[in-house]
Amino acid sequence: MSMMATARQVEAPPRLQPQAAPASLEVSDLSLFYGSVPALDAINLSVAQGEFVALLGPSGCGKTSLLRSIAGFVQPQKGAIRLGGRDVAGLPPRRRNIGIMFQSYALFPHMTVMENVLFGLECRGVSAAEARARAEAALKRVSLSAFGDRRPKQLSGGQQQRVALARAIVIEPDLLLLDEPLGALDKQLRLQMQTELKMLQRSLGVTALFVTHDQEEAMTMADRIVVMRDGVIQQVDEPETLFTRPRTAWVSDFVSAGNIVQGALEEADGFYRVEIAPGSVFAAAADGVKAPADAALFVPFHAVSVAPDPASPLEVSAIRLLGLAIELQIAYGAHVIRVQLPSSRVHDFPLGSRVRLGAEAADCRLLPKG
Amino acid sequence: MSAIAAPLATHQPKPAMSRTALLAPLTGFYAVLLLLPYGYMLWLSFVRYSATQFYVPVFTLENYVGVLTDSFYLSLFATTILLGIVVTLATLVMGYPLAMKIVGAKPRTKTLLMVLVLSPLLVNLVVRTYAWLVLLGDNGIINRFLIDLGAISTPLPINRNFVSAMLGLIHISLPLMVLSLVSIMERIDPSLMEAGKSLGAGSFRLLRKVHFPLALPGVGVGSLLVFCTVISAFVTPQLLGGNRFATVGTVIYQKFTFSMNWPLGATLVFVLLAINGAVIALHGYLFRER
Repeated sequence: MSMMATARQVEAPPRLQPQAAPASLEVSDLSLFYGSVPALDAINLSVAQGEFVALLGPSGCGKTSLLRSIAGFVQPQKGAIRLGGRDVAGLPPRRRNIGIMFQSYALFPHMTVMENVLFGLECRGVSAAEARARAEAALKRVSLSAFGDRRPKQLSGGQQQRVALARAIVIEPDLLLLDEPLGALDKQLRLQMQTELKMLQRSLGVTALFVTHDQEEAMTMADRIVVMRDGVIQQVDEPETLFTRPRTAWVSDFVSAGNIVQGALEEADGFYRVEIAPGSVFAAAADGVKAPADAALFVPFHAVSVAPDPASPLEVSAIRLLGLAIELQIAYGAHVIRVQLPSSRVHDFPLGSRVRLGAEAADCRLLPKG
Repeated sequence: MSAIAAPLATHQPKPAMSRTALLAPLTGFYAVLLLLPYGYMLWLSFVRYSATQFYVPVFTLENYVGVLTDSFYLSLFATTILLGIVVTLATLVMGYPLAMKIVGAKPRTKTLLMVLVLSPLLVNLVVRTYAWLVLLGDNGIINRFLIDLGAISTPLPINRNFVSAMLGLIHISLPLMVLSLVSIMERIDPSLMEAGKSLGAGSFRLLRKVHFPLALPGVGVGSLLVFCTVISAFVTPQLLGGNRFATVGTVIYQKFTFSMNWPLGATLVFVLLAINGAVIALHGYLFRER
């Protein structure tokens, strides 16, 4: 019932919705310490109803701690967690009505697939007949209707994953948490599951938060990405924005958004410029930058212009094929500038050829080093 | 082709032979020191007891018939088995939460708890048992305290009986149970419990539906070890049970020492062994690979 209601809400034309979609999950000022080490440092995050948000960051960044705090498995020392308007920070996990898909799937090995899916409904005191019907519907959604009598061990990794998903959604959770959900699958299956998971989440209209260290996976699946580092949120944005406008040099490096040009920034005529070699200069408008020592020059891969120049000391040090594009790597000092070009230009820049680099100042930006 | 195959063929049997050879000393050790005495005991259980000649070497089943029809021996076995069951259940009930705690503890606490659990095994059995006498005796610490307090006027019946033997045996067999449980519980993925919690299960349901079924192999092994140890125990029931309380173990001891009825003692040994064998078989059946 509520599943249908939320689905209808999402499909409804935008003008019928209130101006801002009500926040489904609201995390405010959340801090978690292990001893004196902060795992989460004043986290603020708001997720809209039906939104699919990725928590992205290197290991130890706090993304899993945030997920576990929301699930209720760890108790943050400070801050609030609101779920659909109710404060759940003090509630035990079983009272939060959150569906979780674990990295290891965490299917009960001694129960059949059907018993696994029924478990949450039994805990909720749903009548046997209704529970059966709902479990069957959930298994049908993940295309496993015929597998109800199997044990988890008798299923493939991908099938176990679907059972875990069915078990998590059958309880009609207010929030779906996914902990590195696709980490254990091989690449082919992972790509397929990314699409399926995304479609299922959208059709259910359930708010979802998923943890990943794979930026590609985050880009593919998420409506918005939360980039975390050392227990602090670095940036929250849509995938495209994260890619085109990383907020710090660190974020740019982490998501591979573009080059961070290394070298001393020199100010000239309202621009900051870095000359990496004679004839190869990058510059960006100086607006708002006070201390160039804390800033770094960001140049998107595709914005680097490259031209053959026998007089230049720079040379193409590596070439990578990226499907329809190629990537040239040009070393300078201990660093590398990466340039992405259409693959049709692969013959213009053979390995070892001398090149001159540059970029439109409008494409380049100064970022805090972060 | 054959030139290559030939040396391979001659080489292959060699490791198998040397493996057998390596096992020979151990096999010999067991053959001489275990099977020989057991064989002698088995033979003794089938000959006739004689008060004057020690035994008469004629084959007879009268020892077994006697033991299995005499109400004294039947109730002796019943008492011993009951003791085994009670101690097994008690160690299970006490050991289960303790094992859960140990498995869930941080490494340092885990080490400490393990040392504490194993500590009964580090103290000499007789010393440990006498410590119970000090506690449980009619003039022991517990009774003295309660009498002085005015809570009771005569000592509680906790000395030289079923209760004292039971307490002593619980004490020594708890580590067996806890170790068996810990080894299995450590293999339970903690995220299974978290999954259960997030799906809405309370502690009791989680225990009954998830944790206990998964810990069952540990419960099985622990119960087997404790039960078999208890029904075969001798020192603890002998010291704590005294003259007023007997188990199969203490009676076997009497038959071999005071009454010098070795055929009967040997018979009791093999009936006890048969019970242990049956329990092990039952365990094997209940926990067979499916």
